[in-house]
Amino acid sequence: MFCFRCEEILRNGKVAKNSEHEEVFVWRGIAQILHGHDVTVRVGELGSSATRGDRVEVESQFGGAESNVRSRKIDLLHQLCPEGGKPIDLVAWEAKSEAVSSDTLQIQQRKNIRINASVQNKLSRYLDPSFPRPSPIILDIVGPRALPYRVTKVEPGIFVAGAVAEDMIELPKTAEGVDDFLEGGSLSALLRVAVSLSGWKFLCSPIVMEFLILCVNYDRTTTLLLPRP
Amino acid sequence: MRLDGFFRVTDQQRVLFRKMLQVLRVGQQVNLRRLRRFCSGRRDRLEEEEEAGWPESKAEEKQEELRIFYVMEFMYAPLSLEEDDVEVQKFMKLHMYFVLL
Repeated sequence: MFCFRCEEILRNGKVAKNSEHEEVFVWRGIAQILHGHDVTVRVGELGSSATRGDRVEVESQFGGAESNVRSRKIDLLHQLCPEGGKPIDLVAWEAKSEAVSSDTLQIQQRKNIRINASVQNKLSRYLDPSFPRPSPIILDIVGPRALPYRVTKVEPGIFVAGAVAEDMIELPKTAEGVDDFLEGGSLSALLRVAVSLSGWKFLCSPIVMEFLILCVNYDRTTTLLLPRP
Repeated sequence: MRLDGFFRVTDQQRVLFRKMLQVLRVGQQVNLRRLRRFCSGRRDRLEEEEEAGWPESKAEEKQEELRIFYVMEFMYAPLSLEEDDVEVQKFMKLHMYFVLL
């Protein structure tokens, strides 16, 4: 697996600009290292069930007759994958090649904000409202650079998005970029991105997981009453 | 939404990064193979320590260190392989030269 990823980067180093899929594979490798084994990073334009649920609700509220509502496709979907249960979505990252226009990037960002709002909305159904839930850091990836930001629920149905820093995280493409990657703080920032998601890893504990499997499998909107940490 | 010091390099990380950059640069030359060997050596040692068990107070720090080495290996091991190829080709040319002599 590791060798395969290395070869991927080696090949990519020889082309001027990577394609979207090539970028996805590089960022997936890094995400998987950062998050460890508790979180699975899925690729291949998987659909998020949370977005489907929200779209069905919007259709019904506005009297739409669309019966075949599909979920939104996601480039890098972070999930908890319990044994014997349906995966639980945690956060979605979107990736684009460096070659795309700024208009396309804005469309991507708006889409990503909506997706993550839906993901958090669904996730929050399983937790007590008073339970402190750190918003995971989302990345909007453009080639080797990524904008880190958060989407936070402020009121029912209202979400706010905001960048966590003024700069973008930048992966080096050559050996000369090592200094900036290390001393410029990009690697430190990536480690902080991982920490923001580690707040959700308590969901992996066996007792909580058993409860969540029940809820997710039967699609019940149940509140998990957890004591404050 | 802003997180203060999101790009801040911690003291522990700075020590590690400086060591990596020292290993990387030999005079004016950049040598990724040295960095690769350094990272994989440190990673091996940390993994052995992990198997033996880290003290609880150090576990988080060590885990972060291990992640840094994993990321660096992931990013730079393939590029350093190219340097290996160049070395092998040089050796082969030299070898062929002596054979022809």
